[in-house]
Amino acid sequence: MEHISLAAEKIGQVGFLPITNTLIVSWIIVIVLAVLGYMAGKNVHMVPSGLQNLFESILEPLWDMTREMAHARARTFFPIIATFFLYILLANWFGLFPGFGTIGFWETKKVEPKAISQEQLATGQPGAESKEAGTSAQQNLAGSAVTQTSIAEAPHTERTFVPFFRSLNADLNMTLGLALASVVITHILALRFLGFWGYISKWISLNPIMLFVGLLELVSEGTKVLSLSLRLFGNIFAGEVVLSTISNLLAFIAPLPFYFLEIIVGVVQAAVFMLLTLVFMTLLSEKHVGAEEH
Amino acid sequence: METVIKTFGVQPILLAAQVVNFLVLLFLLKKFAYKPILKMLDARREKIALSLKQAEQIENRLQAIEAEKDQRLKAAAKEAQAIISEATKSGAQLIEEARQKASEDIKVLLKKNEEAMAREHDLLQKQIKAELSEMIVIGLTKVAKKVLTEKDKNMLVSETIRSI
Repeated sequence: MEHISLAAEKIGQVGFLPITNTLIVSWIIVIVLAVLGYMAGKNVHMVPSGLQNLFESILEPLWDMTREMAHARARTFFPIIATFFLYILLANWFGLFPGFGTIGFWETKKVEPKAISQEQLATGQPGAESKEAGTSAQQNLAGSAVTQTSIAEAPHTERTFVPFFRSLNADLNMTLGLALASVVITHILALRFLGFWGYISKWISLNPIMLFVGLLELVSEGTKVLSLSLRLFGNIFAGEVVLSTISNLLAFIAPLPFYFLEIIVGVVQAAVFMLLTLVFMTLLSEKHVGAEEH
Repeated sequence: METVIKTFGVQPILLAAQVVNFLVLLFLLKKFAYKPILKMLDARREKIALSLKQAEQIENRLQAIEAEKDQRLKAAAKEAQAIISEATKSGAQLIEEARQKASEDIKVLLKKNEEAMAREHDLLQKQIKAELSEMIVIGLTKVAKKVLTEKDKNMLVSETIRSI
């Protein structure tokens, strides 16, 4: 097995949109979750059963928690919080299914013909010593012009494994997108709850000290995006790497504890993302304590 | 920075696609799942609260009824006791009255009896007197062999009776 690339692998291209394996997975999860949600909410009964029961058992604690923290704003925050949780949770757990990262195809990429030594061609494996090889080839080329052309035209191929499915949160596009969505929605809601001037006064103040603090806060908004996205990405990507490494060592039984671990990590990361978003939302849309004195 | 972004495969279009996916999911779940389920949760919460309140009310009413029942029972027992004692009293009175009346009646009867006996006694005495005087007259006439005058007769008779 090859090493897992940090970037999600591209599978195809539709118009201007490159289709990556994570994009496919995200569509699958959106469809699955939407269908489940629709079925759960289609026929709600006073006495819950089946899917309704499942959703209620997840949503009720979330709803209680949201109300406890956000009070009157809970009804606005709740759908966003809950969607973050369900989406990330399902994405994390989906990534543990067999086939994720293991079923795919080998892509042979043509690398622009570089001068490469004969031995390198024979093995067909560009490696760490390619640079060295290149220099030796150049020395070779200096000798005869004939060999230069033949080597330059020789097709050099690089085989990379492209899995059809990749754990969704092991793609920075996904986690960064979620983090951006989280922070942007937080700010929009703060604007809505505080009004324009209330919102502005969070950042800009005539008091020089407060102005500085506001500036720091503005910077921290940027770091929020980074911390939210990289935490989730790091955890899930690391999990993928651990699982593939252990599977390479011993594919039977040995990875099981790590799978359990990843199941827990999936919940924890989803909960962390959701909780932080909820806390940020609550804090940012809270009326400024100082502002009320003026 | 550029290389970092490239290594991680971050592309604005993919970023946008993921955000869109999230927003679509948010919209769908909000409309089809959260809304009805939250509504149901609230409805259930209300219903449970109402049921608990009703249960409490029922409990209270039950207690009130129990208390009233006890009170009524006590009152009824008291009343019954009163009736019984009243009955006993009136019964005793009746017996007493009857006894008095009976004794009075007996007294009256006894008196009447005495009177009747006295009358009889008198009557008997008179008869005996009359018969006796007649017998005495007859006897005396037989003894004296003469017919006594009315005056002698009366004197003799009364003298004889006195002596008897």
